[in-house]
Amino acid sequence: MNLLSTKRILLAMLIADVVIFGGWIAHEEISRKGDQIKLPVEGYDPRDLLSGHYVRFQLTAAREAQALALPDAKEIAVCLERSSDGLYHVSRVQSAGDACKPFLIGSRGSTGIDFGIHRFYVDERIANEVRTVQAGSNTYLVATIDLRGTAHPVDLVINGNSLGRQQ
Amino acid sequence: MNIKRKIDAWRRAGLLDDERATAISLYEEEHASSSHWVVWGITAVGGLAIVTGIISVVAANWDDIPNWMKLSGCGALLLGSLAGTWGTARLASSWQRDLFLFFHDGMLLAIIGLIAQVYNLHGHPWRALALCAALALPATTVAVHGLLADVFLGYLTLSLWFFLGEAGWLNHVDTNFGIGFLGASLGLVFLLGVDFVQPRKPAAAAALRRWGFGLVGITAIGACVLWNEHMRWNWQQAYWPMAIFVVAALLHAIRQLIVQGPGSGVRLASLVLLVALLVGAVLTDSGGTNQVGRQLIGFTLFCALCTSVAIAAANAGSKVGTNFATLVLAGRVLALYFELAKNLMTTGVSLIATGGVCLAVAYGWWRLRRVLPIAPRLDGAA
Repeated sequence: MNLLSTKRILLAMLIADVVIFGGWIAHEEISRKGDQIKLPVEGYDPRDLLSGHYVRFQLTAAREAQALALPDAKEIAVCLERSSDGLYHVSRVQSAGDACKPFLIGSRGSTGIDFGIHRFYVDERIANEVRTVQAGSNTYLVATIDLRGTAHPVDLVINGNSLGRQQ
Repeated sequence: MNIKRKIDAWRRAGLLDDERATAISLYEEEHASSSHWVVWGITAVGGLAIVTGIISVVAANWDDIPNWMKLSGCGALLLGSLAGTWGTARLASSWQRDLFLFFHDGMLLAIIGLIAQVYNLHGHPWRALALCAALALPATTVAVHGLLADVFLGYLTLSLWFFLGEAGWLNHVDTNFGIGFLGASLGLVFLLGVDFVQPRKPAAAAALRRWGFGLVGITAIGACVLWNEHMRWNWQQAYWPMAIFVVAALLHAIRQLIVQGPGSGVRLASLVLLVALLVGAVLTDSGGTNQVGRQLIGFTLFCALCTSVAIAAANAGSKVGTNFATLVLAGRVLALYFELAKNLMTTGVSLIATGGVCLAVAYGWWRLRRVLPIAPRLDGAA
């Protein structure tokens, strides 16, 4: 391969890297600029040894949606409503023509309804501090929800303590 | 053997006259590279020490580094590796360029992991690996060495593996050797691709061969273990991975017949033995009473496969392939003694007997052909 062809391929690789990764980062940043809601979590487990310093949890909405989902449904859209404690819970299954906001779209996984959020990366020092914390009612995920019903995690609050760092 | 001894040997063999031998000796003395290697060694150690130190410092302060700085730094390394490739593209040696590309391929996975960490994304690892494979593919066309093709094939294989797992296709094949059949099929598909790649990129074709033979070899060893198991297989559950494997083997046989013609007997025999080894491990009734007989059939098939591969490699002029197949065969013989004898004394005696047989075969070779099975040295000593 001659030098000119090599440099053309390298230029194409450079453009591909910038477009793909730059676009991806821009997309994630824009997705987190919307209105934030608080989603209650349960099944809190700070000891995800295989994944480094990740706190594992399950969205309460997954259990609530599981109760409403049809047995053979592979995908489910559910409407969320704010309750008196300020947290958002599943109110009903979104039907055709139902323009409720916010809403979440999940799929049926091996363990039930899956909204694609299971863990949150935390600072090593904070991870050690929250290791002994028992999650309670003021434990929730702060997230934005885009127009397609996908949640984007912004912060995780465990017993009132924010695990996400504001950077 | 150093250069002076080689020159002496060439002079004795009449390949060099005294004048040229003296000229070569003088040239080699003037261009002796030992000092260069020492400098390169020190430079490499120093460079590695600095890189390791920087990684350690960054890791120690990872949680204090703002996300934007992490992403910027990782992006700079990614693009910097391409800039380095650009800068070294003119050099006569291709190693620097290929190492920059190798670093770029590694940074692809690193930046995807970093974005996932910063934005708390997870799941679908096959997508990340498929993206890495797609972005690493152009590097294989630029690179001179096969290392970059190895990286691409690694990403591709892992991506396929995770994809099949995520799609639930591995759920029914993780028992009854279904994964083995799929692995061997993928290896055969890689080998089928060699003909297409060889004229365009010989180094990438070599990588395809490595991965193809590697996957088939690992599966063959897995089948070898199965021949010694005491379980009854429900082979019906593995019928479609087995069918995929048999189709891949048939395609290979057709390709052999088209490309090699009638002279491909040994390669076809290898394929038949491979099919017999893998399929037989699942189909034969291991729940019966004749367990030793089953073990010996599996052992014989594996040894025959290694022998045919060694002969095929020798016919193809691959010394590495011949030696490797012979080494695996020797390892299997040793494993059989441990399986059957179960004590060191019997194993030792059996090995001595096997060594005697091997020497007898070598002697027979010499008697029949009147040619030593090793290359004679130039000074005449065997």
